[in-house]
Amino acid sequence: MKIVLGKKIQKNAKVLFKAMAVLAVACLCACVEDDVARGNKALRIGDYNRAIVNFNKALDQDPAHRDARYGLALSYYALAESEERLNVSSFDLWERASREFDILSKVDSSGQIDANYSTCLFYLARAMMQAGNSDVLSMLDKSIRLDSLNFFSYNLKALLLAGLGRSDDAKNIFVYIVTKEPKFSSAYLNLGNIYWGEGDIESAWDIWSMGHEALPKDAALEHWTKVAEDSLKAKVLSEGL
Amino acid sequence: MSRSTVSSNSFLDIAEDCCLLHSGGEADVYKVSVSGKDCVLKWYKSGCSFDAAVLDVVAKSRNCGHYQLREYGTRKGKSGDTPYLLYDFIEGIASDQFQKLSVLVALYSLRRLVSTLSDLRKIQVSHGDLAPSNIVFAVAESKTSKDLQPVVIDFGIVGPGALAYAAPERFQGQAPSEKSDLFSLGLLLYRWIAGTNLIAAKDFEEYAAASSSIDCSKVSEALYVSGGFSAQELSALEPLWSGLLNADPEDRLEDFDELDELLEIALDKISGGQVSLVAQLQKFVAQLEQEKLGEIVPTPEKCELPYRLLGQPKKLGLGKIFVFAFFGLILLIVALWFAVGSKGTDIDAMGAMLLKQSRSLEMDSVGATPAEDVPMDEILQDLPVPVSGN
Repeated sequence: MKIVLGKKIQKNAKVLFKAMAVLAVACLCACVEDDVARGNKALRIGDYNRAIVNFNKALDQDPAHRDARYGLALSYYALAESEERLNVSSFDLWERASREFDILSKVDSSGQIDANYSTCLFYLARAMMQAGNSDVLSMLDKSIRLDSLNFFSYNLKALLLAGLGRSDDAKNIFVYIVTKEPKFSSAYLNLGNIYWGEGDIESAWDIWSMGHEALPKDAALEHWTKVAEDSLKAKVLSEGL
Repeated sequence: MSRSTVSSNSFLDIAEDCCLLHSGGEADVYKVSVSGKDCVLKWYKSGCSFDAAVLDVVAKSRNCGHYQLREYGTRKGKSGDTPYLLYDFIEGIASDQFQKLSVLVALYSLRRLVSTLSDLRKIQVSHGDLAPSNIVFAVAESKTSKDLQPVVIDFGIVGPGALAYAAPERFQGQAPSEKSDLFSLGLLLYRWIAGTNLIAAKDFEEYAAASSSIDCSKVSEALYVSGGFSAQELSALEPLWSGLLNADPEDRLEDFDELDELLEIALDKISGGQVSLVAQLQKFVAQLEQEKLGEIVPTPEKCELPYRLLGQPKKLGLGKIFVFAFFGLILLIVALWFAVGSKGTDIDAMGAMLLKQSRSLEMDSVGATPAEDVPMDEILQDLPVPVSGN
């Protein structure tokens, strides 16, 4: 009887052991998900450093955890953006965010993260340019490849090309931007600026006034449309003398 | 015939109508039907097994004096992987079911048995467990007559076999041999004719001691004392005891052929002629057929197969069901907790929100960036320089 009972206990112990193993795996998953949830909560309320700590904890247990990696990238992204608002150098944070997005792109190829990754690259390129490094053309091209509707990257690329003396390429890009996104005021300003720089006040006025029409509340466009208008008047008057 | 360790393409998966014939210390023996033909399934108990190398050879032999193996191997049963044998059912009665046999029938049966063992010896097979329960008396039918056919079963024993019939060297762990089988045949013959075992002991050590101190000169005396044997019979049997029941293998008969000669001589002495021999055998065959119909062995009741058929869902015990249900419930709660608990913490929604926020921020700040230092036309030198946004 004792032997039979012993065998039964042994059998049940095996089943119990298997169930415990399943539970252990479930608990491990639960821990990771818990860290991710905590990180996300911290990110939502702007506690970026705590968010980074929690997402890193989750990644220590599962480095390929998509949500944890995305959360970490977004935490650096949001932290860098908040630094930008305070005009503090955010180059390192953008670089870190970009690195996390790069790793994430190997885990998630669904395209769901591409818009954020694209914007991150735009910010990184701009931070690099502000730091005096203008070798960011390939980075901007990658940003545009990731999100063809990221007109900020188009805009920055066109500015970069204009600075390199490739005015025609830059003009084409600005025209493309205002065609696709007529509310993108910066493109009007920058395109008009190129014409202004070339002494083509009429074309500059054309572009700025077009922008002012599209965005009547934009003070800068209103101002420069008025300036160009006055310049044209002055020019006509001076030619008449 | 096939050796099987994997359950696929096994006869066991098409077996049905299972009945338990016998439950012994070594194995449970079932009668099953495989494709309409009756078979015997020997299902070994924990710690018991067989020598597969011996069965590999026996399986190839088609001698009608031993069982015809269909399949053997291991199969998952209630207590894990279990060795099993499947062989054609033998229509007959195991010799241990008979209280006593006449000397004539016993000698004749032994001679037929020796013929089978001699053939198997030629292919290097020794039985190793020649006991009354492993000899089934069957009836071989030809067009004109019926004959007694002893059929040997259970080859490939691991261990000394039935202790009351084991040779002394088998207790010392030696492999079965022709000599050890000769010793067992001597004890088997005694059991058949006397109705009791020559060696009776309590345990392994006692059996081993009794076997190694056996005195063949006292066998005839024992038979005489038990009564029921004529002087002629005792005299005919004497050379058999002295040739078989010797502790030292060297003192035993040379081989099965020599035993066959002695048996022929003994039969001649006691049969009283061929006609008398045939008459006695026919009487025994008739008795055998009558008993085969169920007078000795009652019809066994149907039972479950000792293993699970391929594709048949595994039956769970109550304990297992409880354990699975308990942990299943916990897993369900954990899953629900994730489903409900993680609601609203979608990282993708957070990403979309940040993207929207940063792009609208950029829109607001495009005019706030420093002006480009562009060369001015001379006429416009006094004019302010427009702000460039990036």
